[in-house]
Amino acid sequence: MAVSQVVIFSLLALVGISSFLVMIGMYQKTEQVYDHALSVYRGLLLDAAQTSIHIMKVSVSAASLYVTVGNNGSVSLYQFPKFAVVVEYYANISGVAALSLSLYVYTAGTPSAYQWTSATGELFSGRSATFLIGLPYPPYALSQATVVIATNFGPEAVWSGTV
Amino acid sequence: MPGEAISEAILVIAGVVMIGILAGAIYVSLSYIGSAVDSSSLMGSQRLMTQVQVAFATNTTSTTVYVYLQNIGEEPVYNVPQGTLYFGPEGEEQPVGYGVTAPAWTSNALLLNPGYTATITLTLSQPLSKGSYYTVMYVTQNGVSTEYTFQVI
Repeated sequence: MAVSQVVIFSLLALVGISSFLVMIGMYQKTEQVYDHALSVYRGLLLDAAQTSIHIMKVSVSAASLYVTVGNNGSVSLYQFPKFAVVVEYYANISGVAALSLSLYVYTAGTPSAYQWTSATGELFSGRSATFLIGLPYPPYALSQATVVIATNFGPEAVWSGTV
Repeated sequence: MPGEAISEAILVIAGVVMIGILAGAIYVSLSYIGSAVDSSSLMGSQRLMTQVQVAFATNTTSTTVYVYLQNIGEEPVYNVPQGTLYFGPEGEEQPVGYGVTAPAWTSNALLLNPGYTATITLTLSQPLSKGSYYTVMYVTQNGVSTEYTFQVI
């Protein structure tokens, strides 16, 4: 075989093998990115499927709302800052009922207006906890209210009634 | 013999040049394919890790609706106003523009990190009809959607 043929075939082989290796590298990188995303996605779905809460009791004392929440899921809930707590109620402002709808922010300490906390700490699976919500004004007597508690995994509990 | 050597040399040089051109073309093609595959896999994986839900939605007046949008995924929702909001009677939702002139919606958050909740205020030009069911749907920029239906009381 002539020298030129050997050189050309060698170079062609080199280019072919390099291209193949580059493509394998790209495929593996993509696979890693997708694998990571899929495992996160599966985790999110699993957490949501294993989470279930319900509101057992709601009571009020002045401008504090006590909400007893039951956890009938199989995971304990403790990432309270990632919860969404919404309260819609009629506030008693100088004897006049005014509709109040707001998102309440989690605090680890005693809640002031527009804040809430878990008075009994972590919400273990199969147990209940009391959430203390600081309302901006006391509720108007015997008025309708709605409390929404959405967990960090998605499932939520909604309570509607008279406070 | 010297003539043969010269021909060989010319063939080698021509071959090397041609293969160089071929390698360059393959390199450029692989670069394009690589960046397209990279961005595609990144977008796909971001979409898989994005999850939002409307935790609650209700009206406070006949033309004002509040929507609480919670990020329950692992990926931030960038530029909330760039998402698309649909609203209307159940099954007849229409897109609503972001802004202040009714019908329009505004959000108190531009960036919605995992675990955070944004408040969306929807101002309507026509009053809602009492007792009817309305649906609000939010679609993120990367195509993840959530919807919520409520009854006007």
